[in-house]
Amino acid sequence: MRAWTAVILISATLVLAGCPSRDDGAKSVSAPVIQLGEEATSLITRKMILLTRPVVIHLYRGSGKEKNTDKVEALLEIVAGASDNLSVVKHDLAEDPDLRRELTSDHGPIMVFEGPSEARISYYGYPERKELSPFLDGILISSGSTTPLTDRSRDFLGGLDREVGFKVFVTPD
Amino acid sequence: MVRLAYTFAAGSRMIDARVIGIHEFPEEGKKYEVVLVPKTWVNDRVFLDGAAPTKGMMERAYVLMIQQALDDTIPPGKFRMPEKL
Repeated sequence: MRAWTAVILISATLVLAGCPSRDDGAKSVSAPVIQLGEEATSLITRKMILLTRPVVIHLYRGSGKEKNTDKVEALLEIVAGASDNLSVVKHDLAEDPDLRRELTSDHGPIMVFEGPSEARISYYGYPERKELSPFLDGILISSGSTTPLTDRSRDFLGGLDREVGFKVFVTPD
Repeated sequence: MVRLAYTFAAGSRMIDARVIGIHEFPEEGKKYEVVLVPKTWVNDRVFLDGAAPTKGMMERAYVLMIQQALDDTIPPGKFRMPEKL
């Protein structure tokens, strides 16, 4: 009698907690980390069709205090799904002090692009809304896709013999 | 600005172009005194708040910012946009 009471109590607790019983056929469904609109999805498709050479995006994540890394990871899955030429490699900043120094941060999300152009480009943060398009262009630029510059600018850049660091601060709004 | 900075990096191995979202990196935004975006810093020496009105003017502004950042005789600070780019 005591055993039956225990079974009934456990069953009631599971029902109240929302746990499906073994044979009710229910599956747990977790909400997607990001949901892209039609416009963003179409933009990714249109841009990634143009990616004809392989690019690797190195995604760095670090401590728990960081923001939006899961969203970046989900976005990269979608973007990589749109092209066979894009792959993603994940790294843990916590494991590599040299890397933290190089990237001047102990947390992510940080994406570093590696492609045939050998351009040294990176994106710190989550490129959503109006930042999505230039971010995708960064992938194409990394692949060697050229964007026109004036002859004067091209000659100037070709003659640079000292290190130059650009930092462009943005928000998605 | 982002696209142009990346394009410049593709034009020279000497350039490292880093785009920083201040929502995820507020400490960087504070360090570089970002009040409005976009804001561009070159070599942590010269900065520009906002953007020039056209892509052509922005391209010219970036070249001049690099020249100013590499010129040790010019003190660090705000980019002095010429009247005529």
